[in-house]
Amino acid sequence: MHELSIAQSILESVQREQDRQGWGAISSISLQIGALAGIHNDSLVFGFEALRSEFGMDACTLEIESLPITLACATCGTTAPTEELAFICSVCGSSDVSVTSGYELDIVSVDVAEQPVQS
Amino acid sequence: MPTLNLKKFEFRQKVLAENDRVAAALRETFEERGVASFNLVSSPGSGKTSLLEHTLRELGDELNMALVAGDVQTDNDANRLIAAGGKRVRPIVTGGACHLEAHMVGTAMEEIDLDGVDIMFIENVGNLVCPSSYDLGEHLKIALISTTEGDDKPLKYPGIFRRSSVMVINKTDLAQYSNFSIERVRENALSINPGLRIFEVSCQTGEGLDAWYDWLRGVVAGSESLASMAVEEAR
Repeated sequence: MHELSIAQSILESVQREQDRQGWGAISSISLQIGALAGIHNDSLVFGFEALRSEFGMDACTLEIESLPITLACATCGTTAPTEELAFICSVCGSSDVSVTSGYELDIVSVDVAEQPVQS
Repeated sequence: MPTLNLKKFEFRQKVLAENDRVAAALRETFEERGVASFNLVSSPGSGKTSLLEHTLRELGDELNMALVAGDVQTDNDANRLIAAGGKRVRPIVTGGACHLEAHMVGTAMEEIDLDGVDIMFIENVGNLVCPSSYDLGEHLKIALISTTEGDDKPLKYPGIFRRSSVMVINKTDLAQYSNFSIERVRENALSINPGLRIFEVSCQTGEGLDAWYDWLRGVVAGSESLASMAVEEAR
């Protein structure tokens, strides 16, 4: 259950950037999380919601894009995502593959509220 | 009602960027001082401390080893390593955290004199999930698994086995009493990571430990290349 410390790292990073950029209230934070990152999304959201008010982000939500493992084959040159947990080229069966995506644990963007507009 | 206009800002950053920065600085220190550094990971009870105790007793006169031992509570592991002859040992008590982070290792290392040290062992908290995300500045990760666990563990925890360069199968003397198949665990682990270097040992009987000791001697002598065993960059 390291998702709580991951949630804390996310909030700290975003708050630092918020201070630096002078952003207003942040309504959501978008993440990319790879299948090999070892993160349980529900636990991360739970930890995030438990901590967000301490960072003045009471209304902020997490948008999580889950990324599959993508393998690049050194034998036949194919780069393709894999659904199964097999580190084997889906085209030629070679095990001489490297992971080009799947380890991500990245903040991608934030949605920031601009000045309120009367409608 | 006032409505809020939302504006999207690209802000691409690794969540663990700060940990990675500290880890990179640690790795630089290890490089400068000519220290080979290993991060030992396993489930609780696989035998990380036992393996290190044997290693200290066998190689303590030949190689200069420094160790940090992480535990959620107590400094029992560090005390065992000191009793086994460890001269440069520091505990890290995480106080609840399920993994070590680079800054914890950095703090513990402030109290370790690296002069003349050949190998730095970082014994992580027993856990196969959480430690996989945290770079501790090590050259290689070493994953332990014991024959009283399931032989499908490499398939259940692919992240850590894909990121490790070495797998030590411990408690081989107990394999005959369990459903654990050494052949199957090798197959499973190699399907996740074909480059894994595998040792089969029993810290109880001593069987297989000589190959482990020889590998460590080779690392220090320079005949075993750590660079060639490094796993793909996790970006």
